[in-house]
Amino acid sequence: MTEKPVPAASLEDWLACDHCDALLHRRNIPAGAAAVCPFCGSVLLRSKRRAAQRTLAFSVAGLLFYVPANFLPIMSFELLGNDAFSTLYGGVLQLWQQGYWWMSFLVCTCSMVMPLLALVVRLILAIAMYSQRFGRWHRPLLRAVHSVSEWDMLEVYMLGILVAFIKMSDLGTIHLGVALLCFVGLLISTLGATLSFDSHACWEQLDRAVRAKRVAKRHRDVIRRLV
Amino acid sequence: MAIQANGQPLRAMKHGIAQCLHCHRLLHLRNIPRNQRALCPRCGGDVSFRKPQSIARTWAWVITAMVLLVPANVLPVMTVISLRQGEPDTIFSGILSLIDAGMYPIAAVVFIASIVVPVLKLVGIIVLLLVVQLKLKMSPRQCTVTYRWIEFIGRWSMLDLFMISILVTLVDLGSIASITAGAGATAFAGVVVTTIIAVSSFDTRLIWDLETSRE
Repeated sequence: MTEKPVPAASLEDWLACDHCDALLHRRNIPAGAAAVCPFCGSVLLRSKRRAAQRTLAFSVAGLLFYVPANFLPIMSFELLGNDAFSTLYGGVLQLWQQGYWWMSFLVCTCSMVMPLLALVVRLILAIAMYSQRFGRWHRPLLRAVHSVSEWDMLEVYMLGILVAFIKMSDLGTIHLGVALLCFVGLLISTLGATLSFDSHACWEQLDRAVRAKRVAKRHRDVIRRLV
Repeated sequence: MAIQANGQPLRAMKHGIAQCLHCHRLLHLRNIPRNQRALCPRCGGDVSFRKPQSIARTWAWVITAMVLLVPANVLPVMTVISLRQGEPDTIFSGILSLIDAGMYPIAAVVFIASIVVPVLKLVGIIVLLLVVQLKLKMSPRQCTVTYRWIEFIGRWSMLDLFMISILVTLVDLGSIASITAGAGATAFAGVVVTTIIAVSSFDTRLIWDLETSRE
């Protein structure tokens, strides 16, 4: 047991647990490992290997899959010579037309808007991490990353597709469409981008970049005054 | 790790240290007057020692969810019309008809996602609220683990809504067969959203504060 250390003015090498408020010494953890709170067991931080490169790759791949997955037919249903097909976008539109605007809004948010935002925001941040160029405008993006992913529910949608498929295969004939493959691709890329992104490292790099900019500006001012 | 002589961890709040829940930066924070806010110097988000009015807000969302749970289960969520026949299905009668059709695994999945998860979630969060308010002696670690589970399972109740959204376009064959959503689905969507917000407005650190105050 250590003597009761009281954190000094600088809190750089301290961590607090989100869930139990325990104050902990920050230690360097090996890449790919996670630091877990010894008191409540929640993950404090996870250091990711090659975070910038992997996030970049996954989010670009996800964006390529995005449009076909959302607008091409996922599956089609045939009964007595008639057929209809379903797309992600079509479902949202149909619910809206039937007057269920609140459901339509929710499905649209969780299966179309948030997945897109999650990919775009991670792509922008990964580019910034990769090129080490950060601006003030990166802060709101980095702050939003977590809450955007909370409402990104593609994996639940995938299960919904499965259930709908099995339920309807009894009633008529179902053909799977091209978009199903794209959807699986989109799902895997979104999960990959979410898992490989390292928000702790990103905040640290952003801090460092902002500090460096401030120092550079001060130097420039001094030089200007001297000249 | 920093442990006090009595084996208890150091608590950030005791040392006047608050954590920004948006960017996880720590900062020294004095007690702020009621009408003022403290902003994180790094990300600009609100910072406080505990989520503001966590208990009251969580109760408000929980009660809303419980009220919405009634129409969500009583009103029809979906109507399947095949050859001009068919009647509205509620969540429960939908599951029963899946069982009748012999699709047991799917019936189980839908049952878990649309009935077990919302109820379990509400019960769990109410238990956590009562632990804090009545100062019940429960293992704070177990409460925190429970909270993390509730947080994780919440999103899976969206399953039914996504399924309806797929089915309304998939089965759109005019007079031969068609599927329309029902008012119950709107209420159910409300339940899902309110429970998710209820869980995120609860602050597990309040449970650990009970330990500290007992010392």
